[in-house]
This record gives sequence, structure tokens and C-alpha cells, in this order.
Amino acid sequence: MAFTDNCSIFAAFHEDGFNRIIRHVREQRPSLFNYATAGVAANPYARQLCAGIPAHPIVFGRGNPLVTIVDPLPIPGTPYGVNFAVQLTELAIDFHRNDVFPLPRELDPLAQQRLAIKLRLCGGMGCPPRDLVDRLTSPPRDPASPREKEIIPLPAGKLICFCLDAFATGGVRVATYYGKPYLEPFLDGFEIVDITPKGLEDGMECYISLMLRLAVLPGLRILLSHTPLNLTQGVPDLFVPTKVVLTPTPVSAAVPNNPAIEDDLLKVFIKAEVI
Amino acid sequence: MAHLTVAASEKTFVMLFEALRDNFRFAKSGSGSFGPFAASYSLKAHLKGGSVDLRADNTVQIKELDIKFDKLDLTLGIDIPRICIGGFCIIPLPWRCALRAPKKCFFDDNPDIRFTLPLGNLITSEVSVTGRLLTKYDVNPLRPGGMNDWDAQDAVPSLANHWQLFLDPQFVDVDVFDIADIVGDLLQNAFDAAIDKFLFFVPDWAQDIVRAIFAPIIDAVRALLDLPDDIQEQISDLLNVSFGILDFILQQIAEYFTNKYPLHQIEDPFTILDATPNPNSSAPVFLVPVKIPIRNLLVFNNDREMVLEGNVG
Repeated sequence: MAFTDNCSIFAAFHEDGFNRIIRHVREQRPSLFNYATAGVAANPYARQLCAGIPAHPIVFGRGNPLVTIVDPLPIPGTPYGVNFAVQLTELAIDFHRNDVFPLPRELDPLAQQRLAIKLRLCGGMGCPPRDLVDRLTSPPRDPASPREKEIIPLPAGKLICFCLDAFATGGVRVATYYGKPYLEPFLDGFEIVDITPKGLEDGMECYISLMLRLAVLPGLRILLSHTPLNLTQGVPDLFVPTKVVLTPTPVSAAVPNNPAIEDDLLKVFIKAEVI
Repeated sequence: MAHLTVAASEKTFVMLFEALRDNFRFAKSGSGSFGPFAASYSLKAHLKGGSVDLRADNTVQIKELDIKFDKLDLTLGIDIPRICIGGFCIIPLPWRCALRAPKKCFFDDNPDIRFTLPLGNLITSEVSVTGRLLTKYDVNPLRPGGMNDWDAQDAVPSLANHWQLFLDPQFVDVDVFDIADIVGDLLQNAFDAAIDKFLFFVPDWAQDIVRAIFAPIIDAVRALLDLPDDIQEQISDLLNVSFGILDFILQQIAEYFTNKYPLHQIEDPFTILDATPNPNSSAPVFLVPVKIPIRNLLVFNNDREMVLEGNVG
């Protein structure tokens, strides 16, 4: 059977290649994987962070940030906040069949057409010195004084760090934004290894999976037209670009999943039309 | 297993080929002397039509690709020996002539007769190509040493390196020119018109007399041009053999497909994620695009599709 029996263009990424792509994304766009308050990030090259950031020289050359700046963690009832950082330090993907790393029993076996993610997440909190905290202990509040709107970060030295290993399961779907189809990863299971009590584990799983779903994974959307290495776009310097529109091949009996995750591959079936 | 696999159906491949074909233009001009006549030509042509067949033996066959001549002007110049009429003595006297008839000489120039045949729409030719797809890595020769890939790809024009996909012709066959029958008439009319130009000053009543005087020469030129019997063959020989236009076309097509214009080219490193706004409220406004190096890109085909395979560096 030919790759293109049911489509115009077929593109496939093997999990080994996809993990290399993720490595390049981590090195060239570190701010997608590293989040910290301004106080932490201001340290030269974020040396206060819990883990080093492997970054491509172009990141420094073009002045791109190593981290995404976030607000300090608020201390309830006060105008103060705590410096902190969250870093995704490892991320590996295993397309179905799950044969690269074992999943915890909560996520095992990996469902058909799904991918497994192994990740390591490090967090750190900047706990201020006690004498400073004592000085900040506020007197009874003057009803006439206005409430602080900005969170005031409390200075801190080195972060108190911890790292967690976690696993996730998910898939890839086609989503269209601004008229352009993208391959968009999504998450449907998340499990942190060995945290007690159960409520803390569940709460952290919720929080971290929200961060993955809302911050990290959207940054990994790949334009559908990029997946076949821009085939059909013509040779820009030589030709008027060919007017070809690429859309995902509709799902049918012949193409039951698009994209498909099987045989350690992410497969995409594309329809090409000349306009 | 390859990290990346991209396959294009035969129909999609044809689409790529058609873009390549439609952008192929070539032009040439030349001249030469061939005994009593001189000839020159000026041509501009493009390719049209043809059928593309991906074959099971990892070759691609393009059949009956029409060479369309947007312009093919063939100019013939003929040098006719000088002829003078008149000048004879009407009233001879001893040792001298009292009255001479006026003398007029013709065909003083070289060439005396020049006419251009616009053959562009009257000549057709076909080319067939059989070749193999191949990938080449093109290092941009204009790129300064040490320039990073982002600066190179941002440059205008781009200084990026590329993987390029070519069709390497192993067999190129150009059918000899098929020249329409009408060319014989066209040449005869052009020739007659050129002769008429010489006679414009001769009164109508005298034209037959002058033509009768020129008849042997005109017939000799007609014979030289083989008018009208073998004119198609004559012009075909002139274009193919004397001017070597067929060889030129073969060379152009081979160079075009092999070296000049790829069916497809991929910037290396390849942009997998486009530039995106900086999440922080500081400069720069955009983060750099994420690029992945492509390694060991190979291409092959069977009778149903073309397949590219490569690795991520």
C-alpha cells in the first residue's frame, strides 16, 4: 500500500525525530518551558533557577528571554508575593505503541491513537529571610489607606527547589486558527509519581496539567503546511509560489484517523488543491 | 527508521512538475553564412503540455513535452550577382557612341535580398525526458562565513542553505522540428515580395520584360532554396544542423532540470515553528522561529508516489 493511496501528501514523524524537534524547541524557545517571577529572572541568565536552561546561542544573540515572567505567588491577605519558578526540564514523547518508557499503572495501557509523555518538572520558591518577614508584619490596617493593587515580591536568596517526575497521555488533533490548520497536541491524562496525601497529588496534577494544556502545548502547535516540509509552496526565489491549499484529508473508512498516532509515528494525511 | 517521511502522490508530483515546466523559458540568437546566402535566427521558447509518469523502477518519465516557440524568426539573406541592364549604344559613331541607352545595375548590396520568416507558430517540436529524482545540498555561496542561520534566512535576498530536489535527466530526446506545409508558401511569398522591392521603380508595362531578364537568376535562387519542394527539410536542416538549435535545447533542458531549478527546495534548517510574540513585555517584540536541521534527505519514487526521507539533526 502506498502512503498516498488516500491523500495527496503524507507526512510522518517518527518519535525519535519528534523528540529531537522538541529538544530544538526547548533550546530555541526556552521561555515556553521555564516560568519565573521577574525577581528570579533578573538574575544574570537566571542562575537562581532550580535547573540550568540549555539555550541555543541565537536566544542570547537576539535577546530572547530564557523565561516567561509571571507574577509572584500572592500571600493571601497581604500585598506581598513570593518569588518562584516552574521549569519543565525534561519532556519525552512516545507515540503508540508505548515502548520507550513504562507508564504508571494509572495511565497504562496507552490507548490506541494516543501518545505518552514523560516529563520532569522542577519548582522553586523564594522564601524570604525571617527578619525581613518580621519587619513586614503589618500594623492594624488604616481604613483610609488605599489597598495595594500590585503584588510586592518579597526578596529572597536561592530558591527552595524540588523536582517531580510525571507522565501524561494525550493526542494530536487538527485545529484551525485564523483560517490555517495546525497540528495541535492535547492532554487527556496526567499522573505525578508518588505524592501524598492524595488530595495534594490531585491538586498538583490539576495545576500542572493546566499549565501544560494552557501554556506549553499551545506553543507546540505546528502549522499543517510545515509538516510536509512546505512541499507545494514552490521555490520562493525562483517561482511565483504555487497556489496550493493544504487541508487535512477528511476522516473516512479509508483514513479512520487523521492525524494518526500508530507504529511509533505521528502520521498526517493531507489534501492538496490548486486554487 | 527515518525521522521524517513525506510522500507526494503522482498527481501532486505532477503539480510540482507543472510549476517547474511553466517557469522554464529560454532564448537564443545566432547567425551564419552558408555559401551564397546568410541566415540568422532569434528564438524564445517555453514548455507546455506533456505527461508525467512515475515509474516502478525509480525513474520519472516525461513524455511529449511541447516546445512552444514564442518567437522563432529566421532571417535569410541572399547575395545575387550584380546585373546591369541597358547602357548599350543606340547610335554608334566611329570610335564612339553618340547615344547610349540608360544603364541600371541591380543587386549591388550584400545581401541583396533579406527577408524574415516568423516561424514561431509554424514549428512544433517535442521533448521527452527520462530521469531520476535526486536531492542536493546547496550551500549558498554568497553567505558570509560565520553568519548564523537566522540572519542568513532573514537576509534579502535569502542567504539560506537549501536541500534541493531535482530531476536528473538520463535520457533527453527532442523530436526533429515539424514544420508546417504553409512555410513553403510563406517563403515563396516573402521571396517574391523581396524581388518586387527591386522592381518598384519599373513601370508596370516594363515589369514583365525586366522579370524575363532576371528570370535565370531568380530561378537559380529558387533552386538554391529548393522552393517550394523541400523547404521544410531545408529549414529543419538549417535550424537543427547548421545552427545546432536542437543541441541547444537539449542542453538547456538538461541544465534546467539538473542544476538550475529544483522541483522543490527546503530551507535548512527548516522552520518548524514560526516567530511568535515575546511573552514578556520587553524587547524583542518577537521570539525567533524554531528551526530544525534536516540531515540525510533522500528521495525515491515508485509508480504511485514520490517519497522524501530524512532525519532531524
